[in-house]
Amino acid sequence: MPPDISSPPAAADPIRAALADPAVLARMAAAAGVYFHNRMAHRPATERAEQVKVAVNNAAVLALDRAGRYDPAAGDVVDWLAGFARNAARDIARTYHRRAGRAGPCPNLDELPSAGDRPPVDAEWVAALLARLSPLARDIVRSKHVDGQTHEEIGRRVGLSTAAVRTRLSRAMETLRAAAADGEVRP
Amino acid sequence: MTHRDNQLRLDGLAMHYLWAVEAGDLDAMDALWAQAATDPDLSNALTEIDAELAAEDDRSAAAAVVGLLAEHLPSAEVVRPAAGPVTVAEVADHLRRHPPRGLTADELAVNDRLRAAADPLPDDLGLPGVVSWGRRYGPAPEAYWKAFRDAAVLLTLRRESADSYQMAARPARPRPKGDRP
Repeated sequence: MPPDISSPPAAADPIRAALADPAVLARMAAAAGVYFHNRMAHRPATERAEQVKVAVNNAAVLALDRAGRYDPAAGDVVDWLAGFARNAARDIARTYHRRAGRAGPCPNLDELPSAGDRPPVDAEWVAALLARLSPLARDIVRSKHVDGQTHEEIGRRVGLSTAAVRTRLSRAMETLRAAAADGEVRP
Repeated sequence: MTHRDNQLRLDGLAMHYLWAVEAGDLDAMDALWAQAATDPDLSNALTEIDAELAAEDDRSAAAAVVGLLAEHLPSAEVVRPAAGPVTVAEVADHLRRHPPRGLTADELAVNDRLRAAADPLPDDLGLPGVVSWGRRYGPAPEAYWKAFRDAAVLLTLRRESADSYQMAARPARPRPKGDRP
């Protein structure tokens, strides 16, 4: 049968096609999931997964509704859909309380709070703090803050993706910050 | 700006994003995404972080399920893809799930100690060889080592068979036409 060219394709077609792709849905779920990391940290993983699903579903409905506004020249459809997922997740996440803990800017090794009257940087103290990390995390922190390597360079050396280096470094710095702030580690 | 300078810039922004994610600072996250709208490198970096965090969630959820299974359904067998040689721990796990008749409580206690041993099996799986090799793990009656040896042979054969299956399942390279008989 010849294709029907009597009517232009519906605006929602590229959106529908993208939403039928599991890889796109996974990208939307990943975009939504980060908004629940803190606010649903103490909730069961199943509840968090459920809220991610709700966010992706809300995003898909809204995206189809606003399909006419999608401009392929302005960017990739997947990025466009991920934006909807983020907005939907943020709206849900705001209904949960923020968990106390981290505050202020991301710390650097030389910005860790000092114990008592100690100067901010004390080699022995920093060494004692670093000893609390796993060998890999310690290596990543040293490579970044002592050797000055980029996350990409560290990743190539230790066989991790740049994003994996970043998440590990972030956690390691949080461990160091918490240990330093609590005064648990003293030289 | 050199590639390295750009990487250092992205490193700082990525750490700030991760910090905001862990702190639940939704406004800071939004501000970074707004910046990423006109910065494709930053957009890629943030997207990769989202994917990495999602993969971590999946891994921890899978680990939690396996942990719950081990705790509440000890007879359940978690099938993992075979990799490398069979270890002492794998054989001990198998014996715990499928204990042969006549194994005493003392022998099962010995077996439980071995469930933490990641050592490979000995090359010689003959009974005298296994009994002599097993002394390194402490005293155990010969009946236990016989059961251990039988399970070790079974798992080794299964692993070899799985490896052969994987090799056979690989798509064959098409031969050049001139090669055909």
